[in-house]
Amino acid sequence: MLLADRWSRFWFADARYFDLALLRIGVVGFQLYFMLDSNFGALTYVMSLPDELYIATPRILRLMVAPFGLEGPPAATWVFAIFWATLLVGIAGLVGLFTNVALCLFAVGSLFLQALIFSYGDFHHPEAALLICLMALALSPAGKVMSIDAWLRRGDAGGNRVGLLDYSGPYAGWPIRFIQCFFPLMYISAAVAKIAYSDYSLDWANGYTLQYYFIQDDIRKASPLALWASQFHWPILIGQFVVLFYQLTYFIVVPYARLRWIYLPIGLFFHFANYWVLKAPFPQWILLLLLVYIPWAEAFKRLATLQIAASSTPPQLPSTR
Amino acid sequence: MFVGGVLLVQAATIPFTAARSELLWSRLYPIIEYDMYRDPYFEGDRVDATWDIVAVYDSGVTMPLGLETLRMSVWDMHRILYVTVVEKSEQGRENLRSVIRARAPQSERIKELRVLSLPVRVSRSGPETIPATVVMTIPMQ
Repeated sequence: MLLADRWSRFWFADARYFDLALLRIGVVGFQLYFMLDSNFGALTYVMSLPDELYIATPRILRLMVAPFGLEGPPAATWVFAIFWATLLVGIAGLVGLFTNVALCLFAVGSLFLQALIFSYGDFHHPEAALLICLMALALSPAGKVMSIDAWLRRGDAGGNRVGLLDYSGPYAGWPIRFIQCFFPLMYISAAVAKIAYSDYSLDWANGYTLQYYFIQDDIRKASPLALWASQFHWPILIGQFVVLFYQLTYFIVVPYARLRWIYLPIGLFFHFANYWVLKAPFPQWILLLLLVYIPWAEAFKRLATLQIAASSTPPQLPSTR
Repeated sequence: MFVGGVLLVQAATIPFTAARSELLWSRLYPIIEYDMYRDPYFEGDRVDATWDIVAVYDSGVTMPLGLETLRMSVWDMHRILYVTVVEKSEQGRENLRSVIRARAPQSERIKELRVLSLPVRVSRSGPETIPATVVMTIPMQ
């Protein structure tokens, strides 16, 4: 009983709807941008590849196309029709119109398109976490505030800024908690891979490994910063140990939330360094880290309180002496 | 149920990763293994980051086939060459042939393909260049 209570308290403690709405707007907004900036070009490209290269590794894609009896890749006309329809429901999800239905269709459409892009052998890591977050949002009351749905319902969210930041409920926190718990699993997976593929040793953190990747990515992606960095053996070696330690111990930010103020900046630094030096962008992870680990409603509330306090400072009284 | 299920499946990938199993890869997408930059390297290792493809025509003329000629992304080219050269897959070789047949100029006259490795070596003070070598010759027939 005690365990069940704890479990329930962990996922369904009162949380601010503002934070959840911010997650919705950030994640959906980014995915819409990503679709136009990256997915459209990637789809145009994969649709031009010979059918022999289509391997449809993601089983989810096979499940999605199975009802249509498709063995090969879907026709380009259908793919782009799905792309534009997904974009449309994404916009509805962003502004919060029929929020849950829109987010559900947006998540399914985005997953289909991404799985199709990854069905030709090329495969990358950053997108998956955001897609999973989209699914969680689709099942949550993400449109409770800051949405057209809320505006139509009128008054639910309260009329003023402080009311909006205070509005909370038991189902507002679980998607944020869920992604907070998902990150440690991704990091542990990354650390375990490094250790396992070094024959269960710490050989990965030998300095040369990262020098190798710097050189490789300079050659592949023309990254002069990576080439420059590849000459610093000892700082790289220390950096590799920090990465392993960070990834293996990240899970402690879940029970000890205050530690996020140490782990979050380090994580952001590594993801930005990955982007600048290795040209390996993980913008989805940066966005999610910022959105789920920072209590935005609380931060804005404190800021508002400080502003009110500053603006209502009593005038200096004349001295009585 | 969604939360418990997804977290459980994601956590279940970790033993597969630890066992270095090739079972998962992207099959359960969007549940995946996060094995980016996983392989260790050591001093003196060769970085075979780039391969060049050179077409040898029946007249003996050779012509490098770049990404622009073949209209492929750097990743797909790397993937197809990795499968062909490193994993020595017959399917990879056939896929490469089909891309060349479809996209190389006068592809019907190409006798064979040479895959050239342009390697460098990892040293404590950074990269050291070493000579290019032909790592594979693929007949077009």
